[in-house]
Amino acid sequence: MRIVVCMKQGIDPKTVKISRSREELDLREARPQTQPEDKHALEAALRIREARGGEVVAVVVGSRSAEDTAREAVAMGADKAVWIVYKGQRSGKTMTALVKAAVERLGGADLVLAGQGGDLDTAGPLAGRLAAALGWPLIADALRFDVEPAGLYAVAAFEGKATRLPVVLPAVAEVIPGAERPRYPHPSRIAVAWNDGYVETWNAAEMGLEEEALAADAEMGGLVLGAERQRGQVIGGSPEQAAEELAGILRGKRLL
Amino acid sequence: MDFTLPKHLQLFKEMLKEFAETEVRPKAKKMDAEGWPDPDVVRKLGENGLLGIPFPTKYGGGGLGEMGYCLLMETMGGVCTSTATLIGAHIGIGVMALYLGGTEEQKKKYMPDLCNGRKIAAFCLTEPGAGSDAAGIKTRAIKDGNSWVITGNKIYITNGPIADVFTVLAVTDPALGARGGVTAFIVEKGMPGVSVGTVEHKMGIRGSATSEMIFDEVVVPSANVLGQVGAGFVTFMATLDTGRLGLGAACLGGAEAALESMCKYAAGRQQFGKPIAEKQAIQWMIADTASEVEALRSMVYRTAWMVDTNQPYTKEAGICKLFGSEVAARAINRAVQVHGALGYTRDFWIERAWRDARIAEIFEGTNEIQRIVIAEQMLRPYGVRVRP
Repeated sequence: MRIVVCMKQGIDPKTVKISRSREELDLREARPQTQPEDKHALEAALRIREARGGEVVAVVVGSRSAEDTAREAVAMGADKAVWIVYKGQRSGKTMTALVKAAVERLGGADLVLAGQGGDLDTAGPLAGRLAAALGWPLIADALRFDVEPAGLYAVAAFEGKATRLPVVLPAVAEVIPGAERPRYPHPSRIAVAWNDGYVETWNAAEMGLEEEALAADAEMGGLVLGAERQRGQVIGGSPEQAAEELAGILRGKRLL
Repeated sequence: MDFTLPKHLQLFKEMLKEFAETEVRPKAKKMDAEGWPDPDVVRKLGENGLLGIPFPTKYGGGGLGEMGYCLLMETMGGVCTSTATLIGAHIGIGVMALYLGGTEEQKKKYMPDLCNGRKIAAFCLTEPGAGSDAAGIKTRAIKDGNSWVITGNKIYITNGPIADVFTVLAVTDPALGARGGVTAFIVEKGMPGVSVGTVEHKMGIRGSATSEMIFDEVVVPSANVLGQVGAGFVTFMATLDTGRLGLGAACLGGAEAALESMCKYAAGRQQFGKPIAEKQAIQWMIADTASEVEALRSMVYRTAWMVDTNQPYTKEAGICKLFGSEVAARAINRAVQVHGALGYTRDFWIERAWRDARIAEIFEGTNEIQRIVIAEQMLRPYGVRVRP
């Protein structure tokens, strides 16, 4: 059984600042990170492999630093990773075309798992578009998978309840965070993840994709900034003095 | 020169940070209060491969070398000194003695279970009459056919009450003295005559278990001689070098955490209408600590690199331990001062860190012994023999 896991490198939202004067995101100190949502998909794949055997292949699309996500997937336990070098905008259409081509180049897959789109993910949720492109059934909001002698079952969140469904393979599933926390990368895998042989580097041309197939179907329209939060005020002094001052401020603002 | 950590160690550092914050920090206060390691923490350390970090993967280790081990100790030292101590006693000296002195068969037999945490190791050197004077041990091992019979008491053994495998130093030929007359043995918990003596109630590192270990006519097969008969003292002294480096790394983590806490608290704490960080007295404490932390980090990382590139590092390991323990003590003491009364309460971690830091100037060879080790290394080329 081959399970393909779609993984992306995003930006740690905690390292992104907003420049209000220029009305843009200030990414100078932004740190790349593997999308946490995708780690849940990888964890689900690893658990299926542990119960049923087979192979887990992480497919990562992105520019230079995205290789680190491919290596991290290997360190977490993927048998191997494919890093598709792509520097253009990652729209939903682009990602779908690249991952579909990668699945075909791998010789097919039994199950393709994807996480939900992240906070700063311009491509949006991938699983639905990918299922449509591959012509495979989609399991939405999968919390976990159960491997049983009778087959593979997905436990998915449906109308607020966990619902168990048989999985008809091949299929695509969108995995959402559930009780199964993604495992930590294992030191012995970290030690070899940057060695040769674990990550294959592909590009769109090698997979027979032309520019037209990769053209983004969405573009960044601009940045809408929320209301600026007011700075807090620290009140010093003894508790009694502070309470008195606080009461005065609240009265002044007609809140008391 | 490139001071950047390799990519794989950067990922390991991130993994360690997440692990320490998620699995260890929430338990640190409880371990200190109860005076015992949390079995769940120990289990998770093992399951996640953190109890064999420096050792080759062929023995079940993490294959991340001394640099990986120092990152582990640095991270844990900043979150829970007790857990760093447990790891240091297990990896840095317990398993390390096996790795440095053991035969291939012994490594293959014992190391996989020790590296994945199914078993815990302890290093048994100190005795009532032999602390800094390690060569003065009295524990005896007498040959009896194809076995050895070990009798003696070891004290202040970190991990003693929870360990499964002990590396034990014993006199095998009193006439030969330390060099040739002392042998290391691998002793297992279940062997008749092995028992845990007095469990120590300590001022700090209370979340690590420390006890006396009693070896009462323990019969061990000759196959459990660690390496060669008579080579024990040399193996144990070489082991202590890596132990000292690991301790220096743990001290680095403690000092870094103190520095970060000082800056954060000083920036937020208002007195006389402005943050105390705007006061020169506070700024100087922060600047002095930052300078010492930078120096210590360079020292620890460079020494780890020396170990991983097979260079001699006895002097450097001694310096890391000596300087590291003093930097950590000063940093944490300053942090208590910056935090004021809050830093003196049990509600805040810095009080625990202050108690924990004191031992670093004592164990793994007192700082007085470190000065002798360092001076000996410096003066040997000039024909000066430095002895305690």
